Amino acid sequence: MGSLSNDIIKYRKGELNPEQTHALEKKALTDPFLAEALEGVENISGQELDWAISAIEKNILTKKKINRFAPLRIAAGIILVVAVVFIIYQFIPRAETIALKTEKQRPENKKEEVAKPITGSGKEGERADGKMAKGEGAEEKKKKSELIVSSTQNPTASPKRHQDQQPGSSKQNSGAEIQVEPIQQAPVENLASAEEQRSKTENADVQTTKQAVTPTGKTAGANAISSDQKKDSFAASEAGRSAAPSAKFKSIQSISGQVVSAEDGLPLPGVNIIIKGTATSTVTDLKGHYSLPIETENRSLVFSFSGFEQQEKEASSGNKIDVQMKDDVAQLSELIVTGVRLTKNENPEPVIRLAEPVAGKRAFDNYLEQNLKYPEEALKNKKRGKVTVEFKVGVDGGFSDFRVIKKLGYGCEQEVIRLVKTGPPWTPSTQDNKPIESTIRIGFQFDPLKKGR
Amino acid sequence: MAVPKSDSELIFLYKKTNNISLIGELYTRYTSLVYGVCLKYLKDRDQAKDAAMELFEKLIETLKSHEVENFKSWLYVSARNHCLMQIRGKKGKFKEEIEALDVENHFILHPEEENAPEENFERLEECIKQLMGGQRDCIRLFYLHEKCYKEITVITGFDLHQVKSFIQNGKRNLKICMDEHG
Repeated sequence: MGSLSNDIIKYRKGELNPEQTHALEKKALTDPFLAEALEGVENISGQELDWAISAIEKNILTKKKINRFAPLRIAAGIILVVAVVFIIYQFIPRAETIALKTEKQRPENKKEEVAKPITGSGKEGERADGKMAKGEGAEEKKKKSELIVSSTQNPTASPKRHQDQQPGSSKQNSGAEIQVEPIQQAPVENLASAEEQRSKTENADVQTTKQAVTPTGKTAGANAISSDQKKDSFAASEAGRSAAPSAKFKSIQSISGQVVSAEDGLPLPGVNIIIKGTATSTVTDLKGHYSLPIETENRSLVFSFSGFEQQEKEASSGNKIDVQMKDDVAQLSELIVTGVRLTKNENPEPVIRLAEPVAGKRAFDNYLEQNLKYPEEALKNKKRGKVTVEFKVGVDGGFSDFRVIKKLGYGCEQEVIRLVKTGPPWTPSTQDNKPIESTIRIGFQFDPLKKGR
Repeated sequence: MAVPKSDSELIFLYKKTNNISLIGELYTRYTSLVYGVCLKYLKDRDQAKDAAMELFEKLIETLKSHEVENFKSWLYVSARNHCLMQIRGKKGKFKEEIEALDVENHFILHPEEENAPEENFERLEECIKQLMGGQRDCIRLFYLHEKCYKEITVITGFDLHQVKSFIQNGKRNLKICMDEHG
């Protein structure tokens, strides 16, 4: 004999032999737990019981495991959360620091730029060479820096080489060369800045070289300064550009605007605006104005208003979006108001007035009470109760077909019928003012105490 | 039972080691019983299943602190209470039933000795003879011939519920009879 639990399942499935069945049933007689359990499982088939039990036991076994490892799991969960938070925090400030770095780098560059023309060392130029080799247009620059290096080291060689590249600049002096160098240095130092800047600086480079070539040393110096300023503005714009994407991560922008009708240009109040893919929505005010907080860019706003075409606008295109709503002919035509015409009832229900005693119901009741002769037998037996009698009132007001519906006995029914027959006349029932035959039912309460009064 | 450790041994070990698998082993001995009882009271398979699970979880906690002498009886009372509480929570009554249950606990915790009616066959035969027809037949078949309910229904032609009530009532009457003469 296996465990009691299994026996119940087997019992329900009919897998136990008669002896085992008997043993279990006998046990149930002395064991209320088993008795109730057997009673309970009668509601379920053996197979279903088996499934249910194995499901519970499976759950219990898994519960065990979960409980055992619960502290570990919780710890792992916490670590995971901390890690995720850490990573997120790492990312967000990085975007900001990039912007800050570009700004910080700028003055440093300036210092170096200022320093270099004074020293004009060849080693600096060589270092720049190595870094620049990877970039676009590096070849050209390499040549240039080589030129510069050679010009500083060996001023006499410079004019020849310069002539190779720029045939027009034959009368070049070394002063101009030194002024050019820092301009070229800039992209190397400012690795964070994009290629765009590089090419721009290059342009500036060429410009200043040209400028530096033609005038005398003094004017070349002035030009170099102006190109420095240009570069500053580049750096500034670069910083602005790199700062812009960082705003994408978390800034909550507000988008506002006005919604007007395309037809007459009047503001539309109550236009529904929803940020596509979210539950954020608003409606325009009386003047058609709206404003919505929007978390990320490149989301689109959907404008909808009954009777107008739905419109979708990119939210990234600015923080002010004015919309003209066009009439939606199709949508308007769909709104059809239907009504059901109520037909007038041509044949109203016939008006029926039931027969009643000529003097009215009240008078009739009084008459009954006053003229009732309580049957002696009934009075003796203190019989009390209700008698109901049915009879027909003919077209002429005559009575016929008396029937007793509720009997009391001892002649009470006969007494009521006698009273009706000998009582005041009745007006017949009418249908549309025409007298008709009808059946009337009256009830009368017999009460010996009342009679006694 | 084929299981090496007794219920109280398992509980004792659990208190010592806090190993939940011990409780699992203990509980699975009675899963069907608990489920059956829950099904009887709650009359819903899913609810009964949930109740059986909840009881197990309750067990994990209560067995740590409670002294349980007769685990089976204790489990029975807990299961019933749990189900009745659940019903009461739903309908806002059944308080009486739970109070009545506490009185009954006394009986449950001291279950009557088995095989009592078979102790004295002579006296028993006399008492059986005094029983009513249906009860007598069923009691004879069940206790003396060791037939199960189903077999008795086939032999006597009574339906299963009749057989059950005959045996239950017959047993009670027998006991009264035996007590009178004993």
